[in-house]
Amino acid sequence: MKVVQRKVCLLGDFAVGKTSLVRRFVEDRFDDKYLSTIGVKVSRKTLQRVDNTLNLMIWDLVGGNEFSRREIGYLVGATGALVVCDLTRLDTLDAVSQYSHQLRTVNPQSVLVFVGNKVDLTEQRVITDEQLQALSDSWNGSYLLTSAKTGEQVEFAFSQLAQKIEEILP
Amino acid sequence: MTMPPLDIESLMLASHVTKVFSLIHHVAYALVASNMVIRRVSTNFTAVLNEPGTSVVGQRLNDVLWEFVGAEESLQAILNGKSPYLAFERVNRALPDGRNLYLDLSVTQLRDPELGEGLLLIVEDVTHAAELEQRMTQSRNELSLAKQELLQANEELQKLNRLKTLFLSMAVHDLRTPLTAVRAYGDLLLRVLPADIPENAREYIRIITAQASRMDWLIDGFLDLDQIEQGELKLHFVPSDFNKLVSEIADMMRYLVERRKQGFSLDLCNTPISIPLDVSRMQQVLYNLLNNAIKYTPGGGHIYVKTWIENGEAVLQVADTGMGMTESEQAGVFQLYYRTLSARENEIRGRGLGLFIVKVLVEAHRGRITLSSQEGVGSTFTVYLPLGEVPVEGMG
Repeated sequence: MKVVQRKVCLLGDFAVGKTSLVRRFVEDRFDDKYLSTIGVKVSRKTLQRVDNTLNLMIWDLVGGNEFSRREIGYLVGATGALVVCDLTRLDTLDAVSQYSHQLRTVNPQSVLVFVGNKVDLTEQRVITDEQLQALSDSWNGSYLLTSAKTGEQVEFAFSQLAQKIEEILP
Repeated sequence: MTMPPLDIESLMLASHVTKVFSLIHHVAYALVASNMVIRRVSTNFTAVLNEPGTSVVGQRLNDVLWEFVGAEESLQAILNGKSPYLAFERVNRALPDGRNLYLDLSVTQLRDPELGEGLLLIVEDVTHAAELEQRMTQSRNELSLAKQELLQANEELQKLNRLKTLFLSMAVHDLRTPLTAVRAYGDLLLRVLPADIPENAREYIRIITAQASRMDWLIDGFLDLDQIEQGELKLHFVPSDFNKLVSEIADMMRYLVERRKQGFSLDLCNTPISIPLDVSRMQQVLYNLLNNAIKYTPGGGHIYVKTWIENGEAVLQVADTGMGMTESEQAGVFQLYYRTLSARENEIRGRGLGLFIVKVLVEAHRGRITLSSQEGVGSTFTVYLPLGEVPVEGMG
């Protein structure tokens, strides 16, 4: 069976849970302790698709002020991204647009899947579905609500990203 | 043209320096052929990658270092001389002990008659510097998160405060209406009652109206506190007879003094004291000072109220022979919600609002208040208010 390798990125403000989402997806575990990422960590996850084996190379990039020209360079070759916001912090939604713009500037055809993470924190949630819908509509993407802590929708988010990439790069 | 003879010694030295440099800086290298297969590596290459014992020669670069998946075009551009280099900095690798290894990867063109054409990959272990960088980033992010949480908490508190103010104004309105009726009918009764009714019945009616007035001041206290908190305390000054005001409040409180079997002396200044006052606010001040003196003085004690004029100021003194305060208690007594230890131990009712409101209201009248007290002997509060023109109305 054909083996295909695709580079995808995790983008979003600091502490939105990008590293936790990758860890949940690749290692199926969660660590409550917040550890800021610097630079980049590349993980691999193999997905068995109908026609091929897909190796997703997942680039977990630094977020927030540390995301600089160096990190923009890391977006080269990325076919898509999960752009993550923290549902309990409204300002992380603004950052989502900036990251989307940066990725689309480098790779105009890249696939965007928007992720509202920490959906388990229902009491603290401040970002609404309507806001996420409006955002994803404006970028011709889609959105999902996930929880790296409980695992809710994490696998589906990556799977949807892979599927959309396959649609544009069969 | 003849080539100069090779200086073997210099070459040996250069080779040695390169080895030492690599060891000190944890730098390794690999030669990659133009078909992206690794052709040769330095002896420490897998050690720097923290994968000792693995064989990488003959493998594709992408399979050894996943970071180069998706970078095929960039690598090709370097091979073609269209791009000078490609660099990935601070590449994280998880170590078995939970720590991270940080690597800087850079690729440049290699064009050498002996080594051939291809790419030179340099891998540098930068873990030490990156760990410091990570700690700094972590601290900055945590600070930023804490700041955001504080801002959010502050917004919540402000929302609650606005709700409290709304509730208070509604409660005040609902309480005031029946109170006004109680006072009005009490006054009416006193006026219309026949002269021959028993004197104690008349006294009971006076107590009812006095208590209704007290309750009115308690409500005023809450409103004042709220306005102070909102920074919206406004005073309405009118020329007033200070002695008359003190006398009225003293009369109103007298029945409480009698009930507690306390002595009471009122010594008013012989000459009238005319000063600009916000009457209801000054009533609040007088009520709170007298009420405190009565509350904190045991039965058999004495309350002294005195007014006089001194250095262009009207002076009011409220003294008692009550439980008094320690020096540290005196220092905190004008603070909001402050209650003395003895007040709490003796279960004397209160919320620590009265003296805070008194101080704010006195200062809003451009005056000042002092306290002298001795534990077990008593306390004396002295209020100084400037004589003179009616000040411009405004915020307290």
